[in-house]
Amino acid sequence: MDTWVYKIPSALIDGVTIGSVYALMALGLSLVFGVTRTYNFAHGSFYTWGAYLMWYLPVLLKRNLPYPVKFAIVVPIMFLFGWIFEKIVVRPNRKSPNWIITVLICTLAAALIFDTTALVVFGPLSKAIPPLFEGKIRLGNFVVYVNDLGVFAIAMLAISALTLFLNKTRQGTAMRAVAQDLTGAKIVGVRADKIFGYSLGISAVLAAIAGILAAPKYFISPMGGWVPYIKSFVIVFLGGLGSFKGTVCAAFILGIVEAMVVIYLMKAWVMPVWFVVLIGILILRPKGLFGIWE
Amino acid sequence: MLRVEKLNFSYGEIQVLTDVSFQVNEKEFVAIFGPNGHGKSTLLKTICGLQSPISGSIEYGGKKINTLPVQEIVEMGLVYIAEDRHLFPDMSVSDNLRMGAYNRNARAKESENLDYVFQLFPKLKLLRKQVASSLSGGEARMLAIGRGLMSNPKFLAIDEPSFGLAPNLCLEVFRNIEEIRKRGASVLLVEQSTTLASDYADRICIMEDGKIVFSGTKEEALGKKEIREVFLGI
Amino acid sequence: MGMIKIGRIRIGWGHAMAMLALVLLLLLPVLMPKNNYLMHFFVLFFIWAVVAEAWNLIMGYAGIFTFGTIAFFTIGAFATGLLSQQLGMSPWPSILLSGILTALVGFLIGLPSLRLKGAYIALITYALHMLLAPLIRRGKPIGIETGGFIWNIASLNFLGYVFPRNVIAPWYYAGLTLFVVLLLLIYWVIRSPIGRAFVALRDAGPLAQSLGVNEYKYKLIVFGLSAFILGVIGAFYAHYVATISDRMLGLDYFVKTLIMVILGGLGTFPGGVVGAFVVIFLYEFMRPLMSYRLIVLGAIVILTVVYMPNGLTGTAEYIIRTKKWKLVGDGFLRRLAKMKKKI
Repeated sequence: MDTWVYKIPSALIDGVTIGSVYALMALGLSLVFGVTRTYNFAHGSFYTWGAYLMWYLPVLLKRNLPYPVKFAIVVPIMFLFGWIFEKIVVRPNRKSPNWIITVLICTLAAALIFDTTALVVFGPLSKAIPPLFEGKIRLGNFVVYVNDLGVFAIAMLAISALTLFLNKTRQGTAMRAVAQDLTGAKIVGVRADKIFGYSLGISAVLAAIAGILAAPKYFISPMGGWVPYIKSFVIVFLGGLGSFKGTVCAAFILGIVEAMVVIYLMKAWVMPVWFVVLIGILILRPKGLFGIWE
Repeated sequence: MLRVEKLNFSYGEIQVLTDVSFQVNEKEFVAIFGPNGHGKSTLLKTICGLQSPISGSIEYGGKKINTLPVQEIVEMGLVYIAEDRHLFPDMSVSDNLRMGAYNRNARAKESENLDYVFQLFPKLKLLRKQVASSLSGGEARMLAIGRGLMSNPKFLAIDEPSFGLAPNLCLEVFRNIEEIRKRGASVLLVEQSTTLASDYADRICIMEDGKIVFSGTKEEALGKKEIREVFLGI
Repeated sequence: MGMIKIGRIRIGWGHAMAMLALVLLLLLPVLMPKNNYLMHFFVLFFIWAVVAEAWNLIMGYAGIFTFGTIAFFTIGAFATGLLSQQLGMSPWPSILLSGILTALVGFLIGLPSLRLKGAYIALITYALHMLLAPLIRRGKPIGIETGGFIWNIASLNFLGYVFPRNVIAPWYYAGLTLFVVLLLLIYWVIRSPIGRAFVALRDAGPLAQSLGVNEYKYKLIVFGLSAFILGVIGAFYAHYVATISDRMLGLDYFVKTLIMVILGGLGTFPGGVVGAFVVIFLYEFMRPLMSYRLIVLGAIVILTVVYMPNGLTGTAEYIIRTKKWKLVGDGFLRRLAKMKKKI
């Protein structure tokens, strides 16, 4: 009885859904790297804190608000968080000669601070938030959860908004300019400092949304951002450093691969598979799929 | 318009500029010549705010600009066109040009300046949808100058505009610079070879070992024996 | 500062201080035999000082940005745990074998990754670290208890004398021995032609490369060697604490060790040792703060990286070398004034 055939659509749906969430997270990382040329090790903390804030709002206000309202509150907060983070943790290091390493270390230390604060404030137990959308749809033998569709839709919406911003707005184009040639951007008058701040702010928002979208299924915990973080790293490398569409493609590919592994093998194999993929990329094609650098 | 006094700059322990002083008056075209590696590029970069001088003063339009970064200097109308061009490789020609109009003073005149640039460089108009990384050396050079023009300059600081260009293109570039001057802009140009630029310049300076060793007209340069040799030898 | 010459051997200030410290350390248990707490503190210090110095060797001297330090440390610990429990191996050979096994893992990882740019090795070792924990938690088939624990690892023994669990003195001397031996090994590497090649590469990269310094081969050797050292000291740690779990891979251990290296001074010799001492001391000192300690440590890292990039040792070396005692204070005050102006 070939039941494995029936699992394919499930795997695809799960894969595409989680892929879209990974895409958001990876795009945030890619954006920061492209614009500032640094690796932000606190990116996972943005993921975690976005979800925690979402959980905390109803607790703080002692009543529940509809999701759109909560998003409208959390998104600007996270943007500010990322922007301030850039000013305090990243900026002071830019002047030092090996700023790549020092920024890395500082963001790592910051991640420790953020995660420990989350541990102290929210406690070690995992938290959950209600699904964003309720309901299921039956298509013959398969069940599709509306939440999954909703997550995918919101993620794609965010990605489209980002694409629009980068291509059609003046600040977005300025951001691309900084990523492509910093000196050139300065020569035409772009305020690089502001752009760096925006890029961190936007990446924080992307990570936060990813965290929120994943929270109903995967829960929220203080160290919960590290695994998604490392996955987004692999995605960015697979897609190719500097390639927007590469990152998105890689996210979906790896999301589907992960879903397949979960359904056909065991959940335990997920992380080793990611590791093997990473090593494979580095050995076979360090440039990634659409790589521009290296 | 631009006054530089006793400018000093060093890379770590190596002194690159030593007590450089000169000025460019309004609507003037000054060319600085000198062998390679003697500080001409560094001089321009320092004046335009990409680097900070160790000591000395730079005055533009009466304001001191030593400590200002290039982003703010552009807004004042002092536009730098780099030898390395620094174009945006993955953007189209027209996007590159549009980015040139980023600074606040240039935004209002974006379409007007774009038309003007296409008029001066018809080839750019043909290539406008092409990605900058696919341009040839000469085309890229034109784009760099065009982008600089989009920044609405009252003062153009150009680093080696004719480097690597075929002679007919060089001529076109200098003719265009003449056009821009007619619109009221001042020009400070740095060049390795004296052939064309000296014909168009009002005054020339010669730089050796990070110092200005001569400043005057082309005739004066040819008149002095030592200078003439350096001048013709360049 | 002056040096004394005894025959052909030059003894500088640093050497003299090290020898003095060594004598003091040797005498400590004799002077304070009942103070188990103090000796325990020092055993931990010996262990983490080696870890920090090994990390310093790799990152500060060889310039390889690696996240694998704690991972190798853990592999060494678990290797000896399994070897001694499952195979009944006696502790000292087990420790040695653990070191070798860890070195093997180090070679396997370094072989493909060290050829690539710096970011890649960081990423791979980071992935290694992140993956080790789930792997350990599922180690039931090879003898790791549920939850990733190994309990009751055998105590060390020396010529038949089994180290007791409630008297720290023997552990202290064993730890001190390992500390001295492994640190000497690291010191020897730094002073060797390989080490000097690394300093040359660090200070004048492209030139040294063009002179034919085979960066890749040296990096691989040092990487494997540091993995060996970490494996050995990790194994010792396992025997000392008797119970290990995947908690060793937690972010707090990782950052604490990183802080030791950074605070001590990346690329300076006793940097790891100094940093280890300071961090362990501070950590104990801040005990009442509990979880908040990590937040403080994180802040210390950031401040150190920005204001004292050469760490304590580096800054001390600078002051002593240039005799700019006052300047440090001046520099600090000037920065303060600049900050006030900005606000």
